Amino acid sequence: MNTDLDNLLELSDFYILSQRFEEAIKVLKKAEKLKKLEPKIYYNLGIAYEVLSENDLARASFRLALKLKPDYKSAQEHLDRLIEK
Amino acid sequence: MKQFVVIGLGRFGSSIAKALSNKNFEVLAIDENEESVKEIEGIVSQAVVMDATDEKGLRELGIEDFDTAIVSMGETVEDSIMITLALKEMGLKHVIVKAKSDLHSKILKKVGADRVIFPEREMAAKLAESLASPKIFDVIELSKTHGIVEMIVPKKLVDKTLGDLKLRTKYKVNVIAIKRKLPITKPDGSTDFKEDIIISPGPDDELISGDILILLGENSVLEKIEKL
Repeated sequence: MNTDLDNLLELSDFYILSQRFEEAIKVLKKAEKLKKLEPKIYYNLGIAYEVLSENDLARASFRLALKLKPDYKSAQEHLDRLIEK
Repeated sequence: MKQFVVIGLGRFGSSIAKALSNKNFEVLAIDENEESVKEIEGIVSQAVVMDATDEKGLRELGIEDFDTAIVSMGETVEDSIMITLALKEMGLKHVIVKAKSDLHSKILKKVGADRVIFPEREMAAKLAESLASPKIFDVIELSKTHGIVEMIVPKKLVDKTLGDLKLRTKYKVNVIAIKRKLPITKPDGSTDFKEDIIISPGPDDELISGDILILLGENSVLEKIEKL
């Protein structure tokens, strides 16, 4: 069971939906340290960075999400849009 | 509805023809290269293979009835000059021409071009500006001293209402709009966002992290705000 990871991901969703993006990033950084190769960590990081217009970090995050899950459609869409910016 | 004729379907010409068609304008696209015309057929209202220096041919197409012509001839400087001259002689009110050099621009103005553009130069200037000030996305110069900028909300302004900030009285800066990315949950349960825009925000509107402000004011003051 990935309870810790699931909790952190759920918390990051909560922070993103509450528009507390910096806090979402902190939680996702903690999730990253668990070293479970979970693409959603990087997808959510990408979303939070993109909202904050940290486009370089957003691009890098979506790229990592796609490395772990090459058919991650939403991550690909965000990355494509950011590359054209 | 406004009608445009785009002459020369290189990278710039075809992009502008497509963009105008997407905005539902009537667009006639002309190029002597069959492949370039084929690529744009079905996207614009009409696409024609012809040598645009053929004045008679242009007249047969009814060019006189168009509001604006965009001439983007790429490498052939002489052709763009001849075409501009012909279009003005036909009575077209608004002729916009892509220039390759300052000398080319000078000649185009002399033969009647209403506007001369340097797309690469303009893009380069915009890119340089955005690289120099990463927090500023776009700038529209209204005069030498005033402009409209699109910038990421500075940290110091986050969680404050426009009423608290008194930007208009303190800095003589107007907040025209706020672009905001609103978080959403997608049907598959994942998080995402959709872009929203608040036009003419009021004093009770609170700024949040990630907001993009569209501000109108004096350039020097806008720079100060960016650095807050």
